[in-house]
Amino acid sequence: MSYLDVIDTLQSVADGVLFGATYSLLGIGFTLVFGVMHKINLSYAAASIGAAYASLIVLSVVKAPAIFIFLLAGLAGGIIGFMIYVVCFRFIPQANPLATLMSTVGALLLIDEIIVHATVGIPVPYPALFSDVIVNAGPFTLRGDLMFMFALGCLSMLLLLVLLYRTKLGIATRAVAQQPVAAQLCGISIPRINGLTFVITGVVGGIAGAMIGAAIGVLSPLLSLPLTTKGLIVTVIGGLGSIPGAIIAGLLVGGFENLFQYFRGVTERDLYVMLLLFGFLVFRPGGIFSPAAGRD
Amino acid sequence: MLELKGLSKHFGGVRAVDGLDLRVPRGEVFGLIGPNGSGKSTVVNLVCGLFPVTAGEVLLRDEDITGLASHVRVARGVTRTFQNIRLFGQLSVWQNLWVAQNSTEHRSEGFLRRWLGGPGRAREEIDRILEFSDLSGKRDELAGNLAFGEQRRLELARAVVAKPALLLLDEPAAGMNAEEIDQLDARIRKLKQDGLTTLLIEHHMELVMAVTDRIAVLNFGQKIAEGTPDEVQTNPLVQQAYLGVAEAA
Repeated sequence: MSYLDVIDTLQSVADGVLFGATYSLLGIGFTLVFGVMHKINLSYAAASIGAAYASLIVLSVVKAPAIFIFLLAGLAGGIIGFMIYVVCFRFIPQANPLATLMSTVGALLLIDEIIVHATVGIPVPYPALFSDVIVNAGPFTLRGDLMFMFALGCLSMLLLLVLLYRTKLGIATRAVAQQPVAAQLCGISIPRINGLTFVITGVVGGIAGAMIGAAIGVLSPLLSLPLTTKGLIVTVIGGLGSIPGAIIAGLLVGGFENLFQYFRGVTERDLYVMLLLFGFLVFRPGGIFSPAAGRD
Repeated sequence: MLELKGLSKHFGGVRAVDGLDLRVPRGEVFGLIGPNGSGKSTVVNLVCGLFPVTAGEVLLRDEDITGLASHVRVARGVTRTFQNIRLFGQLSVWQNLWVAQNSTEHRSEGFLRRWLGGPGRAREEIDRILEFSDLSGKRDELAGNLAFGEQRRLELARAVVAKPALLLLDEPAAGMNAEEIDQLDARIRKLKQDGLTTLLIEHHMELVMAVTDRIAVLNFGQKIAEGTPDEVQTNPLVQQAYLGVAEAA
């Protein structure tokens, strides 16, 4: 392997890790809902893409700087998240684990269909920020748009961690996750915390959706299924219910994916991501951080 | 303070609680005893709203709370401890108490201040409860890492930090040694001095007889006796059903 090959390999891993921030955000969304409700929201990635579309629509009506698109996507994501909670969870018996799983599959298909019909299935361009900025660091080049995305992803995660670990709302959310019966007897309304969890994860997902749109430069309904798979893989590798796990696993999957895209091409890349998941399932089925005993 | 009227709870064909009438006067420590499976814990679960009732009413300060969700009852002043400890194991002792501070006076603060603000004046109250529970030195430890006796004390602390009007204690002395039971006795008396009404379910008879003002005895979901500790102890029906003395003698 020549010097240039090594540089190129490292370069592609670095790009992948930067893009992996979006996977981290999606993984956080899946894992947070799972941690609080012990339910999987399969419509999450589709809703995130839907929120990115919604932000485009709003931005086309209101003239605002492109940077607001992330804010708008987060806002739209929060609203869509709450709608998904009301439709797919609030009135569906929680005792049957398959009921909510199927209702979220329904929401996934519904969101996809709405997008396909509204755009006639044609991908739409998404504004990329700082795509003209290229930073040269020695032999490496760092893409401005990816770095901005990574920074935004880190900021979102930091804010989320502060919310969850420093505010009473976050502590109440974690209390519900750990001990729902006792939480409601401490005066915490469980439906309200569940609804808020969907709003919060929706905001995170909306930002992730906008980041993905900005990084790729287009939005397409074809994104939602692969992203659902990636989000779930990240969640499992990180450890179901673990937020630090989702963050690390997202970056890991991003880097890994680009590494194998570099060596084996885009057609084979997801095969290796699946192999990574397989390795984890066999050798470390609890994920990177298997959460300590949560609810009993 | 608390009144139960014809309270019933059936699980399938089992009548766990069957037409129970009970009055717990304000400011008293009221004992509820009975053999295993007599329906005591079910009564607590009905009063705090964990299960819906099959029939009957639960009145708090003469207001019907039968249909309210349990977190709303907390806001009305009903809190409880659990027989099998249910702490938030991954939160610190301090956070366990902070998150339970949801009394009416805190509700008036407004959503953003209450949920996104810092602890504010809650801090002093929590410090006082920590001292009361002899947990001041453990405030930053995870609740899951505490010793058993400390976890029991935190259960009680978490139930009283919201300044309830009615406290439901579901076998608070289970698994405690004699010294810990003495401390629990002192804490229940101290809370009574502060005006708290307590419904105590307990198997440890010495504690029940020492600390309660009145006692009701349940058997097969029905009340078979009620009175002062002395009256209940000498009641032949109670001895027969609960203590089994009459048959043994």
